Order: sequence, then C-alpha cells, then structure tokens
Amino acid sequence: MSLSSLVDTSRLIVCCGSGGVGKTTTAAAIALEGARRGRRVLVLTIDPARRLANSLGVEELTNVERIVDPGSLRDAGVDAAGELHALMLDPKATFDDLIRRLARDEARAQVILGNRVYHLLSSALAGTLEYTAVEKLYDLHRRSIFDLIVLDTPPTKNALDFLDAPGKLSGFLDDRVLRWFMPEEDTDGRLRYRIVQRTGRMVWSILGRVFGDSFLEELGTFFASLNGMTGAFRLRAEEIDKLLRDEGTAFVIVTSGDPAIVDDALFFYRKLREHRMFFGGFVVNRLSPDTEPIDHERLVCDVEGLPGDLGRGPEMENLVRKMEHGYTVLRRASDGERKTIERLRRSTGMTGFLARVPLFSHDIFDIPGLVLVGSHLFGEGALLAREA
Amino acid sequence: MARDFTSLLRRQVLLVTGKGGVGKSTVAAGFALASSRSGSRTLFVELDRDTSLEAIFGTHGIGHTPRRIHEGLWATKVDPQEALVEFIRDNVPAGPLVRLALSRRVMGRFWKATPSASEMVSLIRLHLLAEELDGGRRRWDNLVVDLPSSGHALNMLEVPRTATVLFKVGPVREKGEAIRDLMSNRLRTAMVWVTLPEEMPINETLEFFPRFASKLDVGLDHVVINGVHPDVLDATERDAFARLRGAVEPGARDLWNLVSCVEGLVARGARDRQQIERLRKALEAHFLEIPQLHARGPELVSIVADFLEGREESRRFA
Repeated sequence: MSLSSLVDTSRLIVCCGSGGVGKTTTAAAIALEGARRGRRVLVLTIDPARRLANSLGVEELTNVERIVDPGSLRDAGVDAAGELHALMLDPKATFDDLIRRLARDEARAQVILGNRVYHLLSSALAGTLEYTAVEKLYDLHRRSIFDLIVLDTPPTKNALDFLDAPGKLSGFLDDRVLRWFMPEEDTDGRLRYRIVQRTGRMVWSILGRVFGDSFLEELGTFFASLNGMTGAFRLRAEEIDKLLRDEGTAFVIVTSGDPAIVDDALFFYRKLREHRMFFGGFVVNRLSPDTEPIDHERLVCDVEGLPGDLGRGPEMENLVRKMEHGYTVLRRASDGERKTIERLRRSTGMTGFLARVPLFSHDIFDIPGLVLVGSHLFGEGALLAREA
Repeated sequence: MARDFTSLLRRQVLLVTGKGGVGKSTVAAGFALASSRSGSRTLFVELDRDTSLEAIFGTHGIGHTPRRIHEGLWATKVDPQEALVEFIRDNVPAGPLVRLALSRRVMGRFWKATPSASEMVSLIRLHLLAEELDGGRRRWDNLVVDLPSSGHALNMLEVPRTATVLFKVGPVREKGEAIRDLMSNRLRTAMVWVTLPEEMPINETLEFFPRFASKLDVGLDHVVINGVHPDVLDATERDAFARLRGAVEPGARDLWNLVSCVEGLVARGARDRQQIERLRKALEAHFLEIPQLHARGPELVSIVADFLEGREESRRFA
C-alpha cells in the first residue's frame, strides 16, 4: 500500500526509528497531507524542534491538542479540506492524569501523586516517555475526535522500548510483587508489611539491608495505594496492545541512508513482524541529492568553451579540479546510500512503500518546509518498493 | 579553538554524552583509542544498553567482564542485572540464598522496572571499576564512559543524589555519596559533549549544557562537533566560483551539472557554519570539529582518534 493510501485509510500511523533521522518532521508532513486530503488529523509529537513546534502552534507543554491555524496552511499553499491539530506530549502530566483516572477517589490519587517513589517512577524511569506516549495515544484514540492520529515516537534505538512499554509498567505492578508490600495493621496500630511467602520474607530482608527501612516504608505506601488499580493498569496495557495491532494502525519506519541507522531500521522491522504489527513502509530521509553523471573530457571542453578567457589560467584550473573532487566524494556517498536502500528492499521482501527524501540545504521548521517534505513523500519520489 | 582534546584524558574518568544519533559512542571509542595509543591502560565502559559495541570495535561478545580489544584497550558493556547481583553480593552477607531470591522471575521483573535501580547499580559498577586495584595501583589509568543520550544521561547521573536524599543510611547511600564525590572531583573526572552542527542537536546542546552544570556537579566545558560538512571552497576559490556560476550556460551540460552539485555542497557547508557560529556565540566552551567521514567500524574510530589528537586538522575530503 502506498503512503497516500495509508493516509486515507488508517486511523493511526506510528512513525518510529532512531533519533536524529527526522521522525518529527516526517510525522508532521504525513499529518499535513492527511489534512489536505480532508481528514481531521492530529500529530502527537514528542520534543519537536522549537521552531517546528512554534509553527505548529504548540510551543508550550500544555498536553492539550491545538488546531494549527488554517491561515498559516493557506499561506503555505495548502488548501486543507480537513483539519490539522498538534499536541506536544507532557509525560509527567499524562502519568498524573492516568493515576487520577484509575484511582478510586481523589484522596487516594493524592497519596500516590505525592509519593517519592511515584516521582521517580513518573519522571526518571527509563521508558516513562514511551509508556506515556502510548498512554496519551490510547486516551486520544478512545475519545474518537480524530479521523487519523500520527504519532511521533520517542527517539530510541531499541524498538522493544516502545512496543513493550505497556507490558513493562504492568510488570512492575505485578500482583505477585505487590503482595509482598501489602501493609496490614498490627495489634499496636502500626503498619507492618505482610509477608505471604518465604521468598517474600527473604526478599524483604535483603531489600531492608540494601535500602534501609525508611525507603521500604515509602515503597510499601506506594504499592498499598496502588492496590486495586493494578487490574485497571493491566487491562489498559492489553487494550493499548490491541490498538497497536489493530488493522487501522500502520507503522512507518523512518531512517537515513547511514548503514548503522539502516541496521536499526531493519531490526525494528523484524520486531514489528514478530509482534505481528502492520508495517506500512520505510521513509529514508537525508539522502544525498541525485547527481548527474559528469564526464571529465566533456567537462574540460565545457571549461574551454567559457566566454572570454574565463576558463583559462591556473586559478580556474585549480577550482575545477577541486570541484571534480567534491563531486567524486558526493557520488561515492550517494552510491553508498543506493546500496543501503537496496539492502532495505532485499531484507524486507519488498513489502510496503519506500519513500526517499533528500537532505535539504536548510532545516525544516515551518509549514512550507513540511510541504516540501510532503512533495517527496507523496510525489514522484515515493514509489512503491515493488514498482521501483 | 582547541586543536587537541587529549588533555581531557589527564583525568581518570571521561564521561561522553550528547543527543541520540550524533555519533556519541564513536567519539567515545575514539577517545578510548587515543588514550590507549598514549600508553594508558584504558577501559571503554558502555552504559548505553542500546549501543552495539560489535559495530564499533569489530569484536564480538563484549559483555560485563572487561574484554581486551588490543594492546592497552579493554571494553565492557555494563549489565545492570549482573551489576545488581554483584552489589548485593558485596554488600549483603548472604550468599547462595540471595542469588536464588534474585533469580526468581518475578523479582527480575521487579528490578527491571523499579525506578532508577538499573541506573544506580550501573553507576555503582562504574565506581567499582574506577577504584579497582591491581598490585597496589589502580587497575585502569583511564575509563572512557559512553553514557546514554542526553536526557537519559542526566536522569542517570542524578540518581546518586536522589539516592542520598531517599536513603538515610545503608550501602546505597554510601555508594551514592562515593559516586558523587568521584563525579565532582575535577582532578579525576571530566565530561565531553558531542553534537552535530544541526538545528535539533544544537538546540539540545544549548538546553542541556546548563542543566548538566546546574543539576550535576561535573566538569563540562568541551564540545565535539561531529559530522561537519567541510567548506569545499576557500575564499579565493569562492570568488572564482561566483564568476564561473555567472558565466556557465545550461548547454555546457557537464560543467552546468558540476556547478549545481558544488552549489549544493557550498550551501550545506554554509548551513553547518551558521549552526556552529550560533553554538559558539551561546556557549562558553572548547570546541573541536570532526568532518563528516565515510568510514565505518574500527577504521572510523581510528580516524576520529586522529582528530581528537589534533593530527588530522588538514584532512578535509576524506
């Protein structure tokens, strides 16, 4: 399926890949195309370049979606039949919202939100960004306000971080672990922690010696306040998982022509297959521009044919030699990239689309820039892999 | 502009970080290689679990136990699970029972997901390596540490401080204090930042540099600017090029194509230059530029080491 058809038919497009390959820009350009084609689209971004965020109108971490001014789309020549909305993820606020939603009452939510272990969990835990991204996604999806959501995933080399995010959190909140920490009231009214199993008792004593008792009490309070929420967490993780495997969901892997980055992209591709998630195609960004072949003899003729004596003298000779050298280097780079793209094609059995976007001589940070990217994503350059 | 960053290797521990995708691990490996070249017994410490050391060193199976790459250079990839078992073994007098308890599946999942546990034990492992003795002297003259990318690195390095706040007593607190002492000791530890001359990585540099300085007490004032598109033409050549561009006709196809191709290269070089100027204006630091290199693996690391030693200043179009 081409990227254009994906934009027409999907309800969710997940852009994933390594950091620094232009994922955010790609996601925004895909979303813009969706709006152009008449859909109500949301691009959910994570840490976009400030200038890009500004031009999308989401300079602050409000965690609430904002419509991109149709005027600025029109100014860039985009006659959008639909709407483009943008949202910049605030991981902490997303996590807090989730706790409020799942907690039995506000008082219980407050206990958790004020707990130091929770602070660590919601801000420092590696994977929190991934988890909150899918959580926010799920929340937005369930509200059914948008025809299409384009998700810009957190930069990660490890695909599993993202795909496994929901499972990882519910692993932490595993009932069998929680049981070790369930407090019960002693006869003298002090909280003690019930140790149900021999293992639990031993683990408890080890943890006590390593961390000290005061931390353990805090941890105990945290787990105790989560009591009753773990089922809801697990259910949510399952539903998020279902959404990622839904037939309306497509994954687009964004990469550059760099061999190491392409290795990561292929790794991600295999993981998608393993997880039985729908692979839409590859976007290869930052490619060297195509160069026309240059013949040395003809070049010499061209130089000699320059008006007046411009083409003569050591200065021009030197310049042309240097330019030819630069050309050879560029040529070598684009040949390397061509081989790398070939490798992408071969390794993936040519399913899905393959869109090529060149490296631009300026950074992409505004709507006209996104239009330019879109012309490569959806224009002639974006051939189906099997057609090319 | 500093032409030689090997002065950083006078400190025992060199921490390397930067935004993901900027070539941070390769630059770190370049530092490790430069260090071993100067005769120091060097250990490359990988704390970023996403990095493939095989692609960098061309050596398979680098794991938790330091492995010799070649004369004077060893590498290790810290495994939080093993670091944890090690830590508990050294600090909790228990033995086989402990191993049994920790090896339980549920417990493994618990540790994996416990906030900051793996970051903390990884740093404890790093501290252990820095202090390790061999025949009365330190085993490692130099530790070059490839940290996770900026945001994760900041979180990770903040964990020891959090630990000293969270834990009033016990071995975790003691280790937390020891790690902070090591990090803040300017005579023993230095930090270097890696970036690309592009919008996002430079923004992240400008955003994170002060945050590292204010939140962590660590000596950070060196920046490696990686992947710079070199200026293809010098000032006099640019003049000649302008005249040429004005005179060339589309009919002279080969020259026309060459001129437009070089125009693109010049534009890219100029864009990089602009970003570098922006960075230099906003940040008080030592800078070293490494051009875009078309090599891979150990060969790339070796060229990067040459640049860090200031030996490759003239290498432009490599």
